[in-house]
Amino acid sequence: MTRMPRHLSIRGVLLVGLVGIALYTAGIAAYLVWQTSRVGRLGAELRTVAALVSDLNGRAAEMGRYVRQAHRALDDPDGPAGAALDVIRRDLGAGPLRAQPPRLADVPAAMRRPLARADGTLAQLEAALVEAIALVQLGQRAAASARLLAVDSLALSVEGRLAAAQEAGLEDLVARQTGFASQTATAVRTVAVWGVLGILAIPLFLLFLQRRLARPLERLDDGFARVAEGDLSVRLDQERDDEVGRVIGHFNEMTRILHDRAAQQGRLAAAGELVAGVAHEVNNPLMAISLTAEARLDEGGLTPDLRADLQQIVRQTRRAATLLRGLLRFARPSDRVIEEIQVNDLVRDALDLVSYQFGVDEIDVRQDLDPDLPTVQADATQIEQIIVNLVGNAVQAVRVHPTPRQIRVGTRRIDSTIELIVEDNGAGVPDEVAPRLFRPFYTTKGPEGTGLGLYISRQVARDAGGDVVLEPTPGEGARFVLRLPARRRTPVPGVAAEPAAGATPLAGIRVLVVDDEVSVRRPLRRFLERRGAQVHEAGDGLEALTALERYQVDVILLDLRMPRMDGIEFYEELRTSHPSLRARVVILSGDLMQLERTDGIAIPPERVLAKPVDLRELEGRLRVVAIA
Amino acid sequence: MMRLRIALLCVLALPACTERPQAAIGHVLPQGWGAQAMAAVRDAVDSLPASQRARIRFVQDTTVPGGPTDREIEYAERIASRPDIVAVVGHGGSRESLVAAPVYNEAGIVHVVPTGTSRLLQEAGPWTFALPPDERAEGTFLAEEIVARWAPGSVSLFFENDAYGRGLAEAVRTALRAREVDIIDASPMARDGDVDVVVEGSLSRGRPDVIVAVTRERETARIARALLARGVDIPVVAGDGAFIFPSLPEMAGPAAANIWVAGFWNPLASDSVSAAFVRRFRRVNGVAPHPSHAMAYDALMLLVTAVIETGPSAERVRAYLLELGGSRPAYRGVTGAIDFRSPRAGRFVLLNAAAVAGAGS
Repeated sequence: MTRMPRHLSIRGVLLVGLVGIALYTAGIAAYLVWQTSRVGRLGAELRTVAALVSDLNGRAAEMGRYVRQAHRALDDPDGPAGAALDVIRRDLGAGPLRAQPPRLADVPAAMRRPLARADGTLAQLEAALVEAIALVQLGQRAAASARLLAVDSLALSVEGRLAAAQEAGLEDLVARQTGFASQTATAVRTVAVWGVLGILAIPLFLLFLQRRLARPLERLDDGFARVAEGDLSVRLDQERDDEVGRVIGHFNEMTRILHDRAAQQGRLAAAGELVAGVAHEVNNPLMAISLTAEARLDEGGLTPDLRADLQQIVRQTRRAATLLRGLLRFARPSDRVIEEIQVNDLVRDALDLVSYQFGVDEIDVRQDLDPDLPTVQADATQIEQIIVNLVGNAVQAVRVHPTPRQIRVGTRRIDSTIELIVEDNGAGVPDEVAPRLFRPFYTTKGPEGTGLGLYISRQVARDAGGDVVLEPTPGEGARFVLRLPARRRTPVPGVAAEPAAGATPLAGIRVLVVDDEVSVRRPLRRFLERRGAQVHEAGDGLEALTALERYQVDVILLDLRMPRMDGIEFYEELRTSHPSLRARVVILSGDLMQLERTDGIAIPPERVLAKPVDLRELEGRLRVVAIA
Repeated sequence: MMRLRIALLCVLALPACTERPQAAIGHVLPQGWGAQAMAAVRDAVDSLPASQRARIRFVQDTTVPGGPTDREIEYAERIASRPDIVAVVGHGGSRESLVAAPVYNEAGIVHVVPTGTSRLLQEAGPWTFALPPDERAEGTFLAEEIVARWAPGSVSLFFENDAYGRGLAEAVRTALRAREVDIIDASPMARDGDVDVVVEGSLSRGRPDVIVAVTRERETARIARALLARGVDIPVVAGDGAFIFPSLPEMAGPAAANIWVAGFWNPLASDSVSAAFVRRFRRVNGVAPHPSHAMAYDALMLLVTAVIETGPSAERVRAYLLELGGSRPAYRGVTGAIDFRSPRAGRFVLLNAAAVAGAGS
């Protein structure tokens, strides 16, 4: 088995992409914040330096004023300058006024030494001036004069230090400006490169989306479109095992299953067509056998054994006809016909249909049918299909079981519901299988099973207001229950009372028998004529039209499948040629599915009979139609 | 063959694997007492197990108190440039420590200040740790002692015109005014300036009950001698910058009896830790220690302990210091419990220079 190459999932790639976008955005933001923070630090340092320099300049200027005052006081100690010395001394004694001590950590390294030297020299100047003032105030003029000279020298030194500090500050500022300009250029280049990378990433991402998402989704879309058009052979390439790849895998599996089921359905449909054709062809000979036997029985003068044999022939031909009708119903599904039906009858018909399996597989089938079972409102064919499906499953289950193999089919009424129970003594349904039993395409029969039987049965039952369930069974076996809402039994339209044997109940009734089978027409004619009818024959629709030009008829007994002009075409032709006779047509055919071609022409059920027909019933229907 | 080569490589690499890397601790302290404190520290480290001793190396630089501040910056830059330096103790006082702090903070080196009290050290940077309480606590202590002992009506103030002197003088001034003591005069002094002139000038403006001298030991001694020479018998109360031993009593001479000095540690304390430190210091240096010796000793031993416990990493040593008093118990030093989680209350003492000089000889 070829191993699918592993790929990063789409979700994983999108997550990586999102993380990448987040990192890209965060990265550029962090870079810009870092760059601007450096500018912020530069601003803080400049402010600190400016404050320090301003403070030193202020102190130096003040000291200069003080020094001048001290010189004046030396010359005139008793004058105003002398009086000002106390103020100066008090100011110096209070210490330098700083509203907020500067953060030395914010002083650029290049300026620390010049500023420290300037501050130290200024402190020396302040202390020296205090000494000079003290000498002046103590009257020691010579010492004061000498001290003031030292003060002057210190003052010059302070000026020099301050100038050096300012020069250092300017140089540092210019260097920082240059550095800042360079950093700005670097930042601009970096951001530009980042932007280009981001722009390049977009087409790469789009390319990824195109390859990993858009193209596979396009292929999927195309695949689904082809499936919708009926092509179930479509298979898509599953190039990857990512999310879209897995969807493609599921698509391929789904179409494979649909293709197999469609092929199986096609085979079943073809088989159905074949069965329908065979059933129709067999109906005519069966009717001929039945009519001949019934006609012979009518004639009388038979030995008891011969009579018994002829009656057996009639019974078996009717049974064969019933089986063929059942086959036709399964082989050629028709539109739903909701009508009042008796489930017990359908049970018997269904068991008849599958009865051939019972003997072969030694299956003992027991019927427990409630004789007072109410009717239900549903499509008889579909309900019979459910019963056949349930019984068929039971047969499959017990077939592999050792003997005794038993199936029980029962009906009962529970309040306003009727129940049909099909249970067997097979292996039962495993617990892990039970929840999936009613899912479409789920089968335990391998390739032989369609997986649709129970699913469709349940859908049909639910459409009729009921359900199909698997009931738990203690011990062995399985038990399926079909539930349907009960209906009040309505009376069946009355059938004319049978006339006594030997009478001519059809006396005066003119009948045109239209059927291409001579073996059907002749016995029918003999029977009808014995019953008093006046009978004409026609082999197809064209002959019948010709006959109608020549004869008056009260009832037309019409087959459907005929050459040249079939029954439906003839019936349509009557609309223009003999419209009054349309209400006097009784359909007698082995293939009643042909009536679906009437396209809205409703023929009442009392004027439709299936071959092989019960002659008494035929007689009754003809009388009713002729009298009406 | 490959296995043999791998085994050989492992054997050769084994010594490197077993040998733990060394951490260098720098100290930039004033000559004289700085070397004495360092000698006591080396003696203490030598008594540690060999495996612990091997992790520590000391790098020394000495400063001159009152010297140019740019020289302090130079010392700091020289030490900070060493790749193995994880911490530095120094530099001496507040003035020197304040100018050196930015260098250490930029380099990411732990900087422990043993004797600086300026409040500006609190804002010197996240890598700077001041061991003593700041000037506000000392100023309050001094004011309380002055009022309690002498109940003065007026005080004159002399202060060294640098970060230490200006800061502590302001703190004392504030505390005294809060206690309604009149400051009749305040005069800045230069180191090695004409103290006699300043004192005479101050006295000419009024005679105080107490003189507060926020000056170094030489200036403090000269103030006391100047007062004595003029027949002024008033107490001179000095800040921690005036050391007790060995110079102050000698410098002050007969005036020592009038000098009272604030300290962070009592050299005459009888607790076992102090007594053990005094014994070690005397044995190594031949003289008794003063508070600055004890502070420097505590700062250096604190860093030695931090390096032994956390390894040769400045970040881990810094984290260690910040954890003291929190996830780690406070460090028990000679000068008391040490942590940096809140302003240190300090164990201030006010010692008479003459009394302590007699006891410490």
